[in-house]
Amino acid sequence: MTAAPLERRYRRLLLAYPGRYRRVHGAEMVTTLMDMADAGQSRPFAAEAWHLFLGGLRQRFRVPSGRPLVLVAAVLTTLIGGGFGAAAGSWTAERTFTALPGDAAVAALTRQAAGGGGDDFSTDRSASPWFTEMVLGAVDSPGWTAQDAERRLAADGWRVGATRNLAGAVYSSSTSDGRVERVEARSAAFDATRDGLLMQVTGHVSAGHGTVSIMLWPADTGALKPLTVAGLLLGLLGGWMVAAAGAYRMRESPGGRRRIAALLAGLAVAALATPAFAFYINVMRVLEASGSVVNTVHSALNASPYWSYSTPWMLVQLSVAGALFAIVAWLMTDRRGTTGSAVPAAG
Amino acid sequence: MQEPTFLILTALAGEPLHGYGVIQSVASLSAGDVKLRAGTLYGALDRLTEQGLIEVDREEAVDGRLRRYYKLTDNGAGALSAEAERLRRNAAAAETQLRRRPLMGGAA
Repeated sequence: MTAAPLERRYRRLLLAYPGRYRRVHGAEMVTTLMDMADAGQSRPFAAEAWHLFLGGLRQRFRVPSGRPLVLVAAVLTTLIGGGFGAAAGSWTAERTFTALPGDAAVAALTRQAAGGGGDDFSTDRSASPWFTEMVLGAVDSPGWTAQDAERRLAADGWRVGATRNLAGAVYSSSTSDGRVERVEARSAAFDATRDGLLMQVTGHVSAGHGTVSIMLWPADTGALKPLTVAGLLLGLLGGWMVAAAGAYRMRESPGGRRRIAALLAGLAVAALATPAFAFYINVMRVLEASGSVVNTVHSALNASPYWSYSTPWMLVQLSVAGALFAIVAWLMTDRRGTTGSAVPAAG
Repeated sequence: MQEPTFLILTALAGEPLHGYGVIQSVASLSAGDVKLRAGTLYGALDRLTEQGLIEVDREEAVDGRLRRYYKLTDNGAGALSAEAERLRRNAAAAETQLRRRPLMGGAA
């Protein structure tokens, strides 16, 4: 017997409900809906369809009643979801940023800013737990002046900002007896921007020496704040839904498995809380961003200690460990243990 | 306890009923005031089962369709009778207060 169109439509509407709920109540709900239908009715009334859809959504957010510990776990999971969601949003936003140039291009750019320079070029890429990756280049260039550098860069399409003359001295330890001595120097810095990249050029020129360094980092495309906030909100929502679904999976599992799954879920929350906390600190930094450096949320996972007492990979290790605990806990709770008749999949 | 919940428990107190039976019974118990939708009904039945106030009595297949009958548990009977007692007390209190109400109007 093929199902009547009305019945098919009801089954499709019931897809708004979580799978667990559909497996337990789907068949009897269709029966009741068909009992309530008028003779000859071929499609659900709009109000009825809307009510079923909303009811299904609401069911997805429900957690088992009368379980305070489940509620606490759900709130924590929600907050953790928000932190990781914000990090994912910030990561996505960074994809829209201009990629930093490779080492050869950085060398060429440093020499362009320095006006040539010696063969002592050095470069460094920094991974900060707070902001985007930066690359530094430095080269020795006696006789450097900011004006010439600005002219060269402007001619190459860089938009150059005002020159800042810095306090005029460097300290050198190059004397033979190792004493540090003060050397009079001419120091200047300026900012430049081109194609989504920000550059700071700094020069310290003293008699016979001139250290010219550039620092490059990507500019925000305007995507960072909206995507971070969107990620945060989606993460909060997702966190609660995962907790709600997980709580029901756990409830329907046999006792022994349930206890192990609860323990693993607890370990997952404990492990994920620390990286999530770091993400929230970074969210604040993103939202109140000032200055030229572009703060990001996901940079907390960079190989750089977030707190002075953490190791470089601590937050990554905690995230991976927490994710593994959570996945195993999820798989341990077997949803096939439910009672009730299965509803055939809706066509 | 919300009114639909109270009425669903009341409907199931007399005899085990299936979903549509509960909806009809609630409508007649409330003199047509409360018309349950299927989504609301099963949300409540799910929650009340979870709380141990009702349980599945039996299942029947009619014309290839599943009918599941629910009945009140002893816990559910206790909760319903406590709620009925509370409502009776409140109703009695309201009537007592209304009798003390001074008559309105009049010139005096």
